[in-house]
Amino acid sequence: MPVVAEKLGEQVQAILSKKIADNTLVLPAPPTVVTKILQLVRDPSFSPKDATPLVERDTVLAARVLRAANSVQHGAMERARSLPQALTRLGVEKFKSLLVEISAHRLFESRDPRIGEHTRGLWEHSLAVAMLSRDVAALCGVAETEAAYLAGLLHDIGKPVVAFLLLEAEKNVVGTRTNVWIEPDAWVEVLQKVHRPIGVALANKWGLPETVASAIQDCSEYNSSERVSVGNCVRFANALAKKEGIYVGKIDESDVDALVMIGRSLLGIDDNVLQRLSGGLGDRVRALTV
Amino acid sequence: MPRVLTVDDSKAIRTIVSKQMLDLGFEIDEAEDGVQGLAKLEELTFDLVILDVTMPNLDGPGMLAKMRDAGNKTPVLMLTSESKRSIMVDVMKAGIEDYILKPFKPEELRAKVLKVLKIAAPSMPVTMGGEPAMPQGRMDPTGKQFIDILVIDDMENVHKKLKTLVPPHVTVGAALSAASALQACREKVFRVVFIDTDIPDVNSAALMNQLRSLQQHAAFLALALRSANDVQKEMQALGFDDVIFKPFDKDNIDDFLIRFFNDQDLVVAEDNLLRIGAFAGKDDRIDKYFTRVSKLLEEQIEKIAAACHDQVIIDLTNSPLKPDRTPRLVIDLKKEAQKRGVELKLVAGADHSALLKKFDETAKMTVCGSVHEARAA
Repeated sequence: MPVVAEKLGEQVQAILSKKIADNTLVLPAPPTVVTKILQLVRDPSFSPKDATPLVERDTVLAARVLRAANSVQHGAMERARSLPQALTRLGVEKFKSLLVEISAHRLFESRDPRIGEHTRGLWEHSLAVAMLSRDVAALCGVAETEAAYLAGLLHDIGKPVVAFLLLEAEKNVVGTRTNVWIEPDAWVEVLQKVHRPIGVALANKWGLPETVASAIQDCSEYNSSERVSVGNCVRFANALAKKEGIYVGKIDESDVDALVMIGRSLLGIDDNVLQRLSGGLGDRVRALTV
Repeated sequence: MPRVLTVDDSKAIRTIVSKQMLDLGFEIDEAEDGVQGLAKLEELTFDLVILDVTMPNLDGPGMLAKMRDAGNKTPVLMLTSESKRSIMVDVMKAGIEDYILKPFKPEELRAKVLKVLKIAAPSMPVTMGGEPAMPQGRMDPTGKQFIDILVIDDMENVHKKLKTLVPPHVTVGAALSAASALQACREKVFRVVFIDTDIPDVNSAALMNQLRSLQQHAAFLALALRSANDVQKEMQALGFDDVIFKPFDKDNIDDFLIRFFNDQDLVVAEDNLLRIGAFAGKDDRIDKYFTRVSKLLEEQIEKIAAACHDQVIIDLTNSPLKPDRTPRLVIDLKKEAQKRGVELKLVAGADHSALLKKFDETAKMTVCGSVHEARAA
């Protein structure tokens, strides 16, 4: 029997808040290999090729590293033919970003058909916000464009985690996946209501930068005391992606229009730049997900 | 002359806004709060209200609501330090044209006021500091400095080398980092932008997309090393218009110059007179020169016919004398002129004239020794 989203949202939020407060909430960890590499990266003398033995253990990770290093976007005119060569070409910052991106993407992948469909949409929204955040940051003169990309990519990272927790809760209640306990629209609403504290908890657990945690914490109000900042770039990008329809869930158009209008003045985005940023956004996102 | 009302409890803001509006040649009136603002609207008709949010007695949203309730549809531009979404949503629903967050730049106020009033922006010269120095040159119609080529490459030698390969009238600017490139593109206008595909920690495709938003009329070319891969195809797939290979090759640069800069030098039009420019390349490129000249002349003949001239004079004096190409060029031009209904007269030296006498199709054509003679003939 369908459950009213609002009531369910309150219940789930209460349970999750208590678990976070008691430190009993089990959050997904990054893949073991990634965790080990991130520990290595903290060493100031770390060189990307030092990670070769660990990267070799994870075939998916190794393939992504080679693909990224051989991407023409990274200036690769000659193919990197070995992992050490690919890792050296990527550099420390890009390698770190790639590790976080791979870990995050795994959260958005679900074998459950109902979750899978929505998390694909969530991932597309995240990619759109990431690309826009990086472009807006660069155009506004923010030096940390890579941090803006990551913050955009992870601003909704709590959603797939909540989706997974909801599915687990559903299985516990009805004992089978065939009975529909929560209507799809209802659980998307629940995600929207409760994902932020989960995302923040996850950011802390994964040791993500403060800029990312801040973007997850509040993506709906600008911080006018620090106008041109990574957080504000992500907030503007989030509103713009929603305005372009790259989003899963209901959109309050007035809210989105206000956020775009405020963000334009806050960040100094003129009509031409706005048009360029949003033009063909859907195609650019799809090109990345193919 | 547009009349603007500024409603703000800050005298400093009202003074700044008033000065900006007076500089634009507008009439300006001031009010300290919403009550005074409504009273001004009772007295006079305004083309625009620039309205603060937080004010004593009657705040901006309150004044706006009363205006709209009374059927007053004067456009409103909010100028406020309020950035809360929830407040601005309500204000937007009441009907505003745009929004400016304090503190604001004068350019933003001017641009948004002119946009609301549907007036074209006057030109505002912009200057830029930074590395390395940009060449001084022409201004584009918006008042920004115009530079032909921007080279974005972390290797300083690249733009220096390019400068030695392009004619002196083609201006070349340089940026050694993505940040300086973005700054340059915010402040200048470029015809062509070269982006190195191997700048450390820079995603060249993402940078190109960012710069395109600032330089919408520029062509973007990738600077790449020669490789076994199909670089041209890969770069075009990323959105670049073309590729220039490093180290620079004279032929590659010549092709680039012909495509983006030299057309006007190859054929110079003065009313119904078309002067052909000299050939200044390697001998093996002469065919490309003639093909390009022929195409440009055909386009010019069409324009001359469209301008109702009944004659076209083509000055061959500077064009190279090539027994296999010159007569063919003239025959093609004769056909084009006949097709357009204009008479073709040639200006050339004795060698050209002697060569053309040897071919049936050109033997009887009028070949004069000077433009003056051709006009008189």
